[in-house]
Amino acid sequence: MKKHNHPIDDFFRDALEDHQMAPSDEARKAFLRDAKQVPRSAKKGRSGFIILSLFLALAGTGITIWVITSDRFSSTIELKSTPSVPRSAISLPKPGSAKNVKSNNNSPKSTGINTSSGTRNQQPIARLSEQIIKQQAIFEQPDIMQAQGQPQSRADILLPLLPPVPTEPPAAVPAPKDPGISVDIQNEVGSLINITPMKPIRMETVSKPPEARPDSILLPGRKSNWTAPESHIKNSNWIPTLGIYYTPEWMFNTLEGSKFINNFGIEGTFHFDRFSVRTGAGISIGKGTNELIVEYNDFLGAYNKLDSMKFTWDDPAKQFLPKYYLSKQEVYDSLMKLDYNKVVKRYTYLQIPLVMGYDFWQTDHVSIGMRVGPVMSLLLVSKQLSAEYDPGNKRIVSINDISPGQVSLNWQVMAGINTSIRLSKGLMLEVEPSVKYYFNSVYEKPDNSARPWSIGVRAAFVIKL
Amino acid sequence: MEENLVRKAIARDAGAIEALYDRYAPALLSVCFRYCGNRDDAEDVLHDGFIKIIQKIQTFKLRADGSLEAWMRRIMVNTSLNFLRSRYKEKNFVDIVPILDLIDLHDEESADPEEIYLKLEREKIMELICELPAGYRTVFNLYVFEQYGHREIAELLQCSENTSKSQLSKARAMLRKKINQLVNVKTSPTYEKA
Repeated sequence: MKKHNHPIDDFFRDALEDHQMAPSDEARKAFLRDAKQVPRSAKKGRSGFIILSLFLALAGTGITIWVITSDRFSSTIELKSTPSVPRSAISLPKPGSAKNVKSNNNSPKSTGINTSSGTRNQQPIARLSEQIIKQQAIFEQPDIMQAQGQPQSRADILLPLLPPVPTEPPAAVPAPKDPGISVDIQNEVGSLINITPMKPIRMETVSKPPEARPDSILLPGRKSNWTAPESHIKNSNWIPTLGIYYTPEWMFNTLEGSKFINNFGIEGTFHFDRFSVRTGAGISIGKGTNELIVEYNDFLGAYNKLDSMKFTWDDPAKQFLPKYYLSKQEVYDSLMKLDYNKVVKRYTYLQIPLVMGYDFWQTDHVSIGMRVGPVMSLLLVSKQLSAEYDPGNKRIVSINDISPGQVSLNWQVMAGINTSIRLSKGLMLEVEPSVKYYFNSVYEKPDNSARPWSIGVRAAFVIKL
Repeated sequence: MEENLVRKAIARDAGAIEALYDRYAPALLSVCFRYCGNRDDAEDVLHDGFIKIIQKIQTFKLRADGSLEAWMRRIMVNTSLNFLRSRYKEKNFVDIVPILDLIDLHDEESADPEEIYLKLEREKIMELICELPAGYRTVFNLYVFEQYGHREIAELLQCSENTSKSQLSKARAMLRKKINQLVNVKTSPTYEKA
């Protein structure tokens, strides 16, 4: 509001309003030097947020794909992962050892060629050993092997040495491509050669329980008797849950600075093992101010303007009586003034989330995971809480919005860390700190500033259906 | 023009930042000088304020011509107030008033402003403000140049509205007295000649 009624004020204002002082060269140089080191903070923050969200989304997707495909993948790897037999792959069983062939994954330390002495089959085995040693010499000179067109796999080298095996197609799982690893070999004298592959690399890199698929390398003629663990089957069902939630949310980077928003609603979640999909319907209530700058002229007063007058003859009085026709005229100041006004509104949005989740840590009572997904907000009601701007008897020249009203549809993406605590058999408490990024401006008139973002903590009671 | 400058400054274009400084620094230094009361402090505040401007320029929304300068000016005022707060942090600087200034501040009949204006140079007028105690100066600047109301000044300076009013009144009285002294000193040789 302009103040103009004190001569001292006017004097100094008039004298100094456009006063300028040239900064010194040192100050200029110091600023230009320091300005080069100013980072692009807000922009960086926003891009950092986007990168974080994308990272979380990608990580979630990646882990999802990995876990979904991990069983099939690991079994495939196990079936195909032995094209090259390790140097110490063949061991001959001692007399009296089990007649059945074992694919002993737990014996990676077996080294060298073990020939059992003192058996009745010593001579043929010794011959076989000599042949293997000769082949090993070739194996260690890959150049020679390639020149001779030899197979490069040790198993390929060893395979011709072994007698043919009567095979039956496996019942459950297709036979491995390289049968040299998992073949029953009964030598000439009837003893067994136990070819032991090294532990597959996959087994070490993937956190697969050692008891899973103990016979994953199937032997010809053997049927798979492996069954999934009971718990795995149990967890593979979709488990629906229903819950109510409340989320206090603090939104930043709006025209009004920061805002507080209340969110609450009902939601349903489908859990599949460690994965979950959550949706529902919620209400989001927040206050917004529609700020106005009003240009007006002050009302100074009113007078009666004489439009016309009429005289009538009054016979008894022997005179003319005047009759005046007046109209009221309002007078306004020619000086334009500014008035700043705020209209407070309450905005109620319907929120529909679609949140994907993955629990990376689970115990009987607590699970922790991440949640990522889009949220749609649809404006249901906007109610004016403060009184309308009352100009009184001022003459309004113009009204300009500083912060306009809010949009009717908005999209956000949220990412959060969910902690689920089991309170009883069917009741859980979920706490989920999260961040949201708003894809479009929350205002009707899009502004050029950075998009809003918010932080919130969701608390929910969830019952298992 | 302003929009172009802002866009380039957001992209940290060195030329645009330099142009921004050259264009607006003289006016903004004057603002800082009015609050700080001396040139060295004013240049420090100008430096800090301009760094803030560069840091926050992406949050600036161009509404009309001149709004950039108004926005920058506001940042400078806030930076100046922060500077004054830090300088007088042991005591609210609004309450710091030299004892000598509290006496003999009654209104005196002053000469016609037009006449004074002709006789005083702008730099001298600026000096008059800078010679005010920090509290008077700040309230006077906020009220007269930034056109804040007493309620807003009270919120900004964390004092009561009455304090703001009394500081303004005393500032005016002190300025009037100084102006009269200056004018009388300047005009006295004329009288002697006459």
